[in-house]
Amino acid sequence: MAGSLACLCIGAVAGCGTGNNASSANAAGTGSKPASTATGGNKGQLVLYSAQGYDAAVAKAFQAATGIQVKLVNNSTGTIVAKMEAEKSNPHWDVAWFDGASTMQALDNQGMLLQNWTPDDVSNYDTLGQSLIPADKSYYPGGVTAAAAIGVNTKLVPAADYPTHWSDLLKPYWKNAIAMNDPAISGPTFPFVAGMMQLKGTNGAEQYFTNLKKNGLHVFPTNGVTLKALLKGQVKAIMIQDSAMISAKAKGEPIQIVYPSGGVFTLPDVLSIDKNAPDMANAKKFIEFVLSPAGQKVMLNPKNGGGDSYFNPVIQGETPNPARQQSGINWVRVNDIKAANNEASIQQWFHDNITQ
Amino acid sequence: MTISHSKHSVRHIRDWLGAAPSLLLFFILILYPLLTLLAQTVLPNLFGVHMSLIPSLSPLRQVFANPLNLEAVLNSLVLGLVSAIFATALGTVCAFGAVRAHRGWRLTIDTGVWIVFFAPSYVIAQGWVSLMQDGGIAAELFHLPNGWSHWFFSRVGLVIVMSLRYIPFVYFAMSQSIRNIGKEFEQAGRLLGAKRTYLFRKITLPLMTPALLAGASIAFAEGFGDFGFAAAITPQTHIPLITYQIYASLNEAPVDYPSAAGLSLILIVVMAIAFWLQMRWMRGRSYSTISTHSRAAATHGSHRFTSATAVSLVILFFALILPLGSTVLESLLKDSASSLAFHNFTLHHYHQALELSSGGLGSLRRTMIYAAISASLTMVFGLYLAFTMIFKKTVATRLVNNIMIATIAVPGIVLAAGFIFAYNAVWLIPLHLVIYGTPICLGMAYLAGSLPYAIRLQLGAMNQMSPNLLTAAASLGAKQWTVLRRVVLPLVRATAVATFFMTLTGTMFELPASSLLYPAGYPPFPETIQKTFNAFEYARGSALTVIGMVIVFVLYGLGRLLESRLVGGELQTASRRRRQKAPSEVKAVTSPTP
Repeated sequence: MAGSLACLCIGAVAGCGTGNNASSANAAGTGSKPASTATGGNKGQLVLYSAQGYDAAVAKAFQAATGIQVKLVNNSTGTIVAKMEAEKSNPHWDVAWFDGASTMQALDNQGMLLQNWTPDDVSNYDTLGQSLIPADKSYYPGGVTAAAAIGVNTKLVPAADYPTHWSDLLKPYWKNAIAMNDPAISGPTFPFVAGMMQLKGTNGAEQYFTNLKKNGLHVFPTNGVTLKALLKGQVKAIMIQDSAMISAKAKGEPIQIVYPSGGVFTLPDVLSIDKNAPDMANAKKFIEFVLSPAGQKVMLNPKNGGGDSYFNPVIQGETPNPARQQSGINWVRVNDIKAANNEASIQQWFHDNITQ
Repeated sequence: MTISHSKHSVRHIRDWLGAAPSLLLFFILILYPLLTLLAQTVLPNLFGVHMSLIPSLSPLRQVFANPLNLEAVLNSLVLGLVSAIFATALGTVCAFGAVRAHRGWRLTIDTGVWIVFFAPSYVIAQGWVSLMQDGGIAAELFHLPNGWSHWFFSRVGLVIVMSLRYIPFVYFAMSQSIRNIGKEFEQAGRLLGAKRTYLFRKITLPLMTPALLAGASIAFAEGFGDFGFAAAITPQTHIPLITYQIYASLNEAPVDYPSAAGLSLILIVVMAIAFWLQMRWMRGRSYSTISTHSRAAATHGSHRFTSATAVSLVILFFALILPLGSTVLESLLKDSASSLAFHNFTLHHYHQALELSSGGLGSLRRTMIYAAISASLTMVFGLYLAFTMIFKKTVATRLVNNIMIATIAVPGIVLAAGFIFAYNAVWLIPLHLVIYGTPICLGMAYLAGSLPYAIRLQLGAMNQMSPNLLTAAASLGAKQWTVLRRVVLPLVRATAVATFFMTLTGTMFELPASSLLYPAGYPPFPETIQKTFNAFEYARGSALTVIGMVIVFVLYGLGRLLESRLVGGELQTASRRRRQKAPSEVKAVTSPTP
């Protein structure tokens, strides 16, 4: 009994070892492509870590266009980043893709990302897109959303009372009737808070959130919960990522989206390449595909991406979903390097003073 | 002097050799992954982009410097303890309600507890939230104003839902124990004129202590170490809990493994102390209820509908019907904001879920395979390890036992992260042993997650077996394997089956290891469900979950049927054999035939 048990265990471990020569070889981080040749496909493979709704569809389209086999790991941004951090001494991924430039910047700060590479089709970007590329070219935006806009329940609020400025929500009219997400839990909410700090200055932003709390601000975990609170009438207005609200509006929910004139904060979905990507050439091809009209077309179809497809394109000639407002949005670019560096203290302040 | 010394050391070596398989298993599955993670509390750059072995105490200092962490540990301790006490009381009532009731009622309660057990935490939690929140199902049904459930989203609410959630752990340990106790001790007491409550307090309850403690300690460990469940409610209540702090350090930028490791260390130490106290309490007492004495088959089935049965049904209504009913309702609603009007109900989400792309069906198939394999291995290893721990008490097995059980408290996400560090480590590259990213690694993580529970439950059951039973078998010439198969196994069969289904269902819905360790391109089923929830498609996510639960439930039903057939068949053949053959041949049963 004892012997057979030991055999089983060792057998299991040894068995996997021999079966995985390819990935252990990648792991050496030489940048060569043993994995591609090992899989037998002539075009090789690509390991994509992504949190985007449309990733599977884009991967499929890319595979059809190039013959490169895409191995997708889809998770929430938090899990993707946790995985990348845990693997960093021996990475398995080629391309990472999620919402939030400041989170990507934090990975870049550790030297995990390929820098100073420019896609062949970089000229496809419009002005907004160009402005979102970091100086060291370590990641590229695939599209952009507003980290937060104001959503109003049209059944509860007459048009005359719609807010136009962020500060309108401090009026007694909105007492106990506003909600936002917890930046510690909801990915899109940190750029919103960090953006406010940039727009109003640290003191001004802290004062703003403190006053919101005095006016009965509810803090819910994520977009889904906050949106539900709005639609169920628990609150009358919410401040969450605009694409989530556009998606609800497109489904016929009673919601009006307001982009405050003071400005909304850019929340791009960003793509980066592993500095020692086992499939480097394929990784570069993938990003170029995402910036191409063919890639954008797949991403912009809500059938592929659900709520994530209602983003604002940053590629010339691409038009967003008709449910999305296209003009009159005052975009404020979040300084991601600063946001990444101050994240711990901003999160701490928000938790101690607003969430609790 | 020297002779006796060398004899002693030979025995010592033999002890360790005998424990070698358990030790190896333990090392590969639990110790090595945990150590690679915990090492980072003092070697924060062990797994950095460039490996560095420069030690630093700053991660630990950081953990202790944050007042929120201390508050979280205290909160978790109190919540874990209180909910373990309630769960123990409720689970014990259910066990009595089931074991001593008519077959039909017993089956109802048994099945109910099983569903509570295999319903994934987040579904039960989500169900409670849908039910209790402002504008939720209860508010709509009874026209309750906003803010009516304020009390629920607090420590009180957490204790209530946690105790209801952990009933099954106590129930499984207790129902086997009650069956094993039989009635002779009680009858003896009654003959001596004792009253029923007195009997219960002085005989029945003390005899069940090992099972009670086993169940209670798992309930405590769950409450103290389970992230999944508190997660859905914690963010709404803003009560810091230690598991939540760990989760946050892994899931919020910047990801901080050293700090997660430091918090996990606290978690493990607290659990180790709790189990050490339990062991101390048990030492020197005997809880054997299964002995070599023959006795009339236990006749619990007094075919009565006792008050315990009635209370069990009420408990199950709260533990099961309320939260799961809410989830089912949610999965039938057009969307999350719809009211409960008839025209808002639809089967659309089930339709969609069943029309899964080939990828979705593939993930379900993959998970079924993972589940079947890890459940079988957990059952076998759990039996074997518990057996060696109980009946071959050596320093080595005791050590394994203690650490293994303390690891119950390690949250799944921590163990899963440990697996990445352990099996993706740079030192494995030249050995070609980087198994991270393969199905084997994920399978091992499933096994590592379920094995401590299986051992814990088996220990509870085996503690009630008199060592005389085994000595008798051994002195009749039976080898260890035969003793295990012919004597121990039949007596703990129910627990073995329980561990099998526990793992089967656990794997079906296990999230942390599934999401961190799955091979690129081959997601398992829990990941598919989670993806739907991540996209805020609650209705479709609920529909998928309900489908998964139906599958598990059908499997469980088949398993139970098979088991009862097997048992029935075994008994029949045995009695037939006994009738047909001469008594002298019957003793062959105990001889060491393979």
